[in-house]
Amino acid sequence: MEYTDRLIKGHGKYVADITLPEMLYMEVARSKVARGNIISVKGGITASDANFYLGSSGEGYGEANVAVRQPVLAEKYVSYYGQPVAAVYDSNKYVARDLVETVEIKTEYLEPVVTLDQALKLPPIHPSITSNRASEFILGNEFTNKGDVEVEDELYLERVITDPLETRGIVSFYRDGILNVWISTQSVYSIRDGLSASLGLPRAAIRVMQADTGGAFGSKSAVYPEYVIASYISMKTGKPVKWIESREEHLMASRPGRGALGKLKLSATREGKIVGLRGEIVIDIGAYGDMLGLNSPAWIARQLTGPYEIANAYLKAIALYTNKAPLGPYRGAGRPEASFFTERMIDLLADKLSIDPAEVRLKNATESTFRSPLGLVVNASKQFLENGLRETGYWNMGACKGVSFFILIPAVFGGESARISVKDGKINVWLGGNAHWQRHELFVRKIVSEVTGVPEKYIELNKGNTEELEYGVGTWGSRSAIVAGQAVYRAALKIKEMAEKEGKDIISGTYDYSAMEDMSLDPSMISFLLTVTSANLNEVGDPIVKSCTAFYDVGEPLSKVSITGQITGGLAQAISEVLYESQTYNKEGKPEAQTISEAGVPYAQQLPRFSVIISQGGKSNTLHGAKGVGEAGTVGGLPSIARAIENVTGKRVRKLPVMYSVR
Amino acid sequence: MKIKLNVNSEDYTGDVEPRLLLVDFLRDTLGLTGTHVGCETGSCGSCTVLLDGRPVKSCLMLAAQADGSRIITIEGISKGEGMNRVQKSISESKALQCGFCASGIVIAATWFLERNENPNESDVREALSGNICRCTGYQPIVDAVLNASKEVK
Repeated sequence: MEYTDRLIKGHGKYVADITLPEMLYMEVARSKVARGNIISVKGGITASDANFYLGSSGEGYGEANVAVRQPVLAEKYVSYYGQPVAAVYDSNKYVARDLVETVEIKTEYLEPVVTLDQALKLPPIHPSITSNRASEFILGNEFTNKGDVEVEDELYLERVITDPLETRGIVSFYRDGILNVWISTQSVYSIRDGLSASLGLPRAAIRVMQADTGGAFGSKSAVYPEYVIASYISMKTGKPVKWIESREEHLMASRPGRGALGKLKLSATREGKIVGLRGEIVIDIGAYGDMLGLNSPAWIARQLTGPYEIANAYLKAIALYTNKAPLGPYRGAGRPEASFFTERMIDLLADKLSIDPAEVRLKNATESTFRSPLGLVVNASKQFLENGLRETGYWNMGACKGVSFFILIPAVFGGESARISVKDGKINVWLGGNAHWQRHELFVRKIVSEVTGVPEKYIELNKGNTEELEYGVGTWGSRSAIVAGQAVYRAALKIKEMAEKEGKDIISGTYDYSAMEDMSLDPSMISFLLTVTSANLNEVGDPIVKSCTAFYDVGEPLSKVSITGQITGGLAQAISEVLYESQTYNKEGKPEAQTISEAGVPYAQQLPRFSVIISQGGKSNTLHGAKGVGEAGTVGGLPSIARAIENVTGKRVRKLPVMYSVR
Repeated sequence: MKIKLNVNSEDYTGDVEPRLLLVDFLRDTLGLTGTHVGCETGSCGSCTVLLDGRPVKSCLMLAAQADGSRIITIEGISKGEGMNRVQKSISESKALQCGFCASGIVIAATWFLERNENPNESDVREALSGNICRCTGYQPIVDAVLNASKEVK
């Protein structure tokens, strides 16, 4: 049966649906202040029982931040509202919830660092550091060319909760020296390796099995404190331990994305040719920074020249610690931030010069391969932009429209693995990047069938499992079609070769091959995204998006239905991020959105119909020619939507979201 | 406390804790895990079931309040057939991604189509105004429901 038919019939097996004999339910007592010294904790398992630190977090397994290590349970002091302080468990879920209410956490008040200004002015939030500057970078070179005109602005993207419909969850069962983990995740490998580093268990003693995963959008890419605690309790009791995050916990203590400030200045000629970009990128990484958070300012800054030929650029990029939940990736993870910053500045320049914003983009689009002063190499983009403006009907649209043109850089770094097993007339496939479910099975079937000649109906993609495929990376950064696609292509070629050597028909034989495919970024892998949006006002005078058209470069299209679904899903998230999605914090650092509605997740009535034009800006230099797509909608959508809203309201959009009216 | 109700055409009589939520009764007591918990505040509709023929959010009700009622969950929505027309249409369109919202959307859309012969797109969007889908941007789901409405019952 197709996995989707299983889900449509209510026969999915999400982690909350897994029940094992003698199972214990864990609940987590959390800090109710953003910052404070711990005086006492009464009840539950505390840091003095379970003295672990997160070994790695962020996307995939990365080395922990040695300057500030995140304790799995807070010790000595708490650093953000919702931080785990103690854990309780019981065989009855309701009793466990009663127990967690009895845990008493006493803290001494410390003034929280909530805003970026406070982070710069106030003493550091951790005793092990001398300032709240978590990381600092300089990109490009100072330059003197100021052109004929300069435009300057301060732009901000509020924090956004990832809010997959299924919250996080885990079942951990330590038995006979092996920690068995069932989990909702984007990568069984980052969970295994993260648990290994946190608990000090060898990787070989941990088996991670992906449950049906109900969406992720970045927040399920890595290990979290709760996973370590649940595993610890199972090791201690010998019983299976289940933890399912509540939505309230998700909103306060999962890793949100964005929280990015850009202070930028563009210099240009009177004709609209950009001669220089300078400024500063500041990222609010929250109380603990993993490698992803620490590197995020530089990653955003590096992309800022986008698909444009900008000869000079000089940027300062810093990450700051604040007393908020640690930052994580949210669909796009640095790409939508860069796109928003650059494209909003180009619109400002167009307004200053009274030139159509599309004309300014055409004037600056690269005409041949260009190496930016920030170290980014992009291929010629102008032809794609010209085609897109024509195909989307941009030139004939009314006044309340927005256009944006940017790049999507896939996270191919680290490569990816794939295993193909042919047995009993069936082909089973496992990928190192675990689908959840963006319909990876569609491209897997296509590639394997095309290479081996075996019809698609015999080919099945399985969920992530460290036992079936020992090494892998994960699903994020618009990487799966391109890098997992190449790995499965390689494995299929190998299977074909094995069968040919034996002179056998593939499907009637027994073959098994795991490929680990390395990959490094090449400009042919970078996609161009052109988005055109129109907006108007609804009956009560609020701005709404009327239409949104994507003209996106996907290289060789592997599955049109899955590509379209990724793009419409991403554009929906872009619309709600521009209009209402956010997590904000009050002066005491308490998260203000406490329900999924307050966080601004949109309903069907709030969204328009989308038009998706699947385009090809040339194939990527891979075996199958595909490019990435998962984050295209949020990267491409944000600035185009923001511009359309700006045109309909007449107010410059500097800060997302535009409206906080949902709460 | 003792309750008696009928779930997917089967009678159930038993003792429940007074504070037990209907969704936990369905999932944990009866093992009908197709009904999901998404938001716990009645916003997302993942826990939607039919109670005496009306869609309700089972995370906002106590099991005790369902005493004496007839409940249909996703496991019983196709009345013994493999899939009903909404399920078939979603399946054929390949509209689904993560699937977590599917149970609630199938229930809400099935109920809606039984009462609306020829809905337009805006009717369908309104009918789904109690359900969140985070993956698809709704468009493929809305189209699948519209297609289902064109099929003979």
